[in-house]
Amino acid sequence: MTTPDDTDSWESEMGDEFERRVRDLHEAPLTLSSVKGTAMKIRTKRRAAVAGGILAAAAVIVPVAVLASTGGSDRSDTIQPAGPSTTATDPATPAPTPTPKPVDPAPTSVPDGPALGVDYLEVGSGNVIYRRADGTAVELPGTTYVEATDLGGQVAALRYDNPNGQLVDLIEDGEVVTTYDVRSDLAIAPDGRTVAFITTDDELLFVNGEHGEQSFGTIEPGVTLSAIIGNGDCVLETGCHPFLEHLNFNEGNAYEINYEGPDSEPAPGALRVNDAEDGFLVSVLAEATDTGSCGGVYDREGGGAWVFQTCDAQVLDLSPTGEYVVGTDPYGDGVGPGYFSILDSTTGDELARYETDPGFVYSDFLWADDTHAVAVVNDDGAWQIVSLGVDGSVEVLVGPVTGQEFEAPFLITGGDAG
Amino acid sequence: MQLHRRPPATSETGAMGTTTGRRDEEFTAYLHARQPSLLRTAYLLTGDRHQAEDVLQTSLAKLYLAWDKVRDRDSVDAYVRRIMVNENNSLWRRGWKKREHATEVVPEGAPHHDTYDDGRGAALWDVVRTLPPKARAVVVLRYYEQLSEAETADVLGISVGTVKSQCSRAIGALRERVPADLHPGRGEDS
Repeated sequence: MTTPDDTDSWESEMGDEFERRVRDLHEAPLTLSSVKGTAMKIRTKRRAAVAGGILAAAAVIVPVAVLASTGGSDRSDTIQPAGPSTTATDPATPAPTPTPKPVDPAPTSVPDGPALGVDYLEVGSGNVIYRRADGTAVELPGTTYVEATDLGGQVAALRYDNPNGQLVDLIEDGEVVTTYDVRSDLAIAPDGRTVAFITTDDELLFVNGEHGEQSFGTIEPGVTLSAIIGNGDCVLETGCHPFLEHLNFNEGNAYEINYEGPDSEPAPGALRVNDAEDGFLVSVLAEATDTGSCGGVYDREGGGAWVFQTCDAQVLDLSPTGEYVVGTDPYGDGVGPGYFSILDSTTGDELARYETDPGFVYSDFLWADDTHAVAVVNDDGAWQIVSLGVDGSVEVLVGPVTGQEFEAPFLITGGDAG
Repeated sequence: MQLHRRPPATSETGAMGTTTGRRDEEFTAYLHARQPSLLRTAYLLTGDRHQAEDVLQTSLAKLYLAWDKVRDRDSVDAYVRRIMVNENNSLWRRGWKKREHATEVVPEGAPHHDTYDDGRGAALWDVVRTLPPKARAVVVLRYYEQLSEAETADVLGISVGTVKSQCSRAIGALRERVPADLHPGRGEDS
């Protein structure tokens, strides 16, 4: 009788059988001419796709430009579109090279600031300023940007623009070169160099500084994007890995598009992936009720296993090494939770906590390094960006700035450090 | 086979005809050297001779388009394997409903008939052909191409853990679905 110890035998049998199956196959049916003929057809299709992309981008940009030039808005976020640089790619072909663009004159100069380890946006009086983790800064061409990340040469940024809804701009040298109408938020990979979003045509697109735009096809209307991981080379599963969720949790669980196809659950019963690291850990929301929520950290490697589950905290952003995870109030308060904490991602134990008194935590979380989580908080009416260490240390990185209670002057954005 | 490493590319300022001519010459040499082997891999990936040729033709065409970029690498074969796997998976995705029904029936035999077989090989091949294409790609690269787990993971863009789990599942399917009297060791025991 055979047992699981027979693995080597089966492996050997498979190798032998494969060899036998093809041992008589010596033909070389293809000629250079036939290969080149197919290559020309592929190239023609790619050119047509690029042309289609340019037309589509122009169709999006025109109404915005018209709106600005006709005085339809009194805001100062006039968009000056340059030539779009859409790069069409074939998901079956590795590593396409984006077409280089001519460099425009330098944009408005913005003084650099201190290197804080996280990207953030300054919003308020005029155009949004995008301050990178290394302290360098650039002015974005509008006042309504809420997310941004540097793809390497281009900045991808999400803005709200009534009546056009949500738009993702690719910005180069201070000018918008491509605009997408989107219906999802901007998902940013942990390294900050890849973004993804769902267009209003329900297409899931990845954009990477090196590999350009890559399509993941159509997504159901009732589904949106939760998170992405990968290096942006969508030929590889590990390059572009999206996690999706149903807008109505009653309609289905979260799923990922991975090697198994589009039906795999990132964690059993997960409704939403709050964060994913480039390894196998995901932090998820598994249950949402009127009074709280439950979730945890799940390790997807191999057969998969829960690392911990809890109903005492929302489990959010994983640290770059996966050792820690941000936690906060399990009940989703409308104005924002009163605290955020750092949990040991192997046990769920709380290691450190930042409490606002009175006040609330606003917007997302990021990790400045392996042991410091960063958030925007409103402390008794004063806005600040604070860093909380695993050891409980607290540092105010930016602020305090007094401002409107619901209009934060800072928004942290982009990928985690490391 | 790996292509031998070429010296760094020199300036492409020469006439277009010269560049294209050199590309064609190099590519023809690659076709001559590697096509039969690549066709064998394509056949194992697709399980169908005509589909194998289709996948190979498209993959080689894409390689031709990218030749100037990849020819200097030591990994041209890996590049083509990756395209073939993706092409095969794309074909599968486009026609998955049709194929889903097709896998209900054991596909007709391969064009290469075996006189040695006591039935184990045919039974094993039948099981392999019903594996999802990506799982089949894993076992073909591991057990035919003899790539390591890490190399297989690299070609397919998946984790080593996924390679291991896919191989384990494939072997599990063989244990379960190949008749017990045809399991390895049975013939030798009797």
